[in-house]
Amino acid sequence: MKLAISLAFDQNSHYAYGLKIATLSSKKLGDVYEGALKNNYLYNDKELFDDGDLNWYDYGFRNYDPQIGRFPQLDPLSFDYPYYTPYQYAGCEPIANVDVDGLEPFGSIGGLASDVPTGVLAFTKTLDAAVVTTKTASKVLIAATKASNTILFKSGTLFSIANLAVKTINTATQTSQAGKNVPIVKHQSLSPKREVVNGKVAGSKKSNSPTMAFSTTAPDPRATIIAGAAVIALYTTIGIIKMATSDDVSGYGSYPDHSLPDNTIYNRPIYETPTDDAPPFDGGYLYNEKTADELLPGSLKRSPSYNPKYGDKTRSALEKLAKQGDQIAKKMKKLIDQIPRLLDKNKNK
Amino acid sequence: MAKQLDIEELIKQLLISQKQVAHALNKDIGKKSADKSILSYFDKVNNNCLYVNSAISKKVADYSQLLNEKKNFDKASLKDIKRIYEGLVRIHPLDIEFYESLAFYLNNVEDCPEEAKMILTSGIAKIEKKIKSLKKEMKKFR
Repeated sequence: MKLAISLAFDQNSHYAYGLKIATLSSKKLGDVYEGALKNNYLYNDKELFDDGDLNWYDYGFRNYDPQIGRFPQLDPLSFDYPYYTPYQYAGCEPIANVDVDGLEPFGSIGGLASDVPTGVLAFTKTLDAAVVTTKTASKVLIAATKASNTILFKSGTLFSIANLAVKTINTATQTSQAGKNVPIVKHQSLSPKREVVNGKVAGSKKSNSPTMAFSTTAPDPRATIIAGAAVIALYTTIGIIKMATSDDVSGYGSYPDHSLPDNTIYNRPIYETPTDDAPPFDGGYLYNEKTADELLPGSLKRSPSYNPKYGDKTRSALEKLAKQGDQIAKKMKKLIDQIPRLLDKNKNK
Repeated sequence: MAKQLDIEELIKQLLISQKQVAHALNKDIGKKSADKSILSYFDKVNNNCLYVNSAISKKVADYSQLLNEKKNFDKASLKDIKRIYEGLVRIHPLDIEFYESLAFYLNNVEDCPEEAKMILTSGIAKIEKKIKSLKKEMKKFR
């Protein structure tokens, strides 16, 4: 029998709106494993990016700031939800709902398990999920239409334009092919028209030669122009369709593909020419940049030497209190570390 | 429609500004250039409405204490700095770090040592109270 021992190296607690409870999280006091393995996928399994100390979550369509419980960017579907503020998160009900992709709330509670039989609960859950997915699909379609509207085309008309372009190309090519054999009347006779049967004029006995000659000259230039225009129209239409059906449903920028490291904003170097005041750019990456706080010595931050006029009567007393506070925070952390063990013990009960 | 945020550009600008501040504080301590870079950082934060972010607002409040010239305190008004620290304490009621920041600010800048002591002790008391209640809850499981 083998025993698998796993060690928790990171434990995080969050408020309902996603703000990290620092005192209830293991990172607060610094773990042994801190820095060795960094987990950025925290609240709702969304990636936290702390570049520039913003501490925002990447929700795909938008970024989310848990400190204010709002998205700092406008809701792409705000026109469909006039009763919500365009910056709201999870329909302003973060316990009942979850925001999946920064577009709209997704119900996370199907009902109370103790009140409802499990079968009914599962059914309602799947029903809810189905309703939400169809809703999402329709919203995405609407958003796609809106995105295409911005370039003065509706997605419906795009396909008709494409069809029209294909038809025009077909007719143009037909005409150009036919242009090789366009019948041109060289000598128009004043006599009434006669039917041409098998290249011979009906009723004529004198000659077998046709009165109508077939030219083998170059194709009609008009047909070539039409064909060219149609090709251009088709290519522009394909381009528009591509734009309308691309990931950029919101029209506010494409969704970052995290599978490709070069496409993310985190791994891209800053191409910025330094100004006179700025330090020379060392060509590093965003996540390797040292922030001002890291460069600052810790004691310098609150040093009274910068403001000697304000004096420092109680600094030592405050420092003692701060030490006391740190010890209490450590106590708190110890207690919190015990909670998962207790829960594991009481699982069977 | 409101202007959309270009996140990448914003982070770039913010990092450059923070680098400038760090550079100024490390090399030009006590010179005017340090004040200049700190104030330009404040401008960037204000223009992009980033003061709602507690991590950045704390940075603003910390940097404002490092300003050298007295006239620059008007630009980074003391009332705002106090409001930022108080807001942080309200958002993170169980984090001793923010109580410490507020207490040191009150002592060093506003010259209110008694208020500083009071706030720090109240923070410690709050956390102790929480520890007691946690212990009670945990006893039920044992």
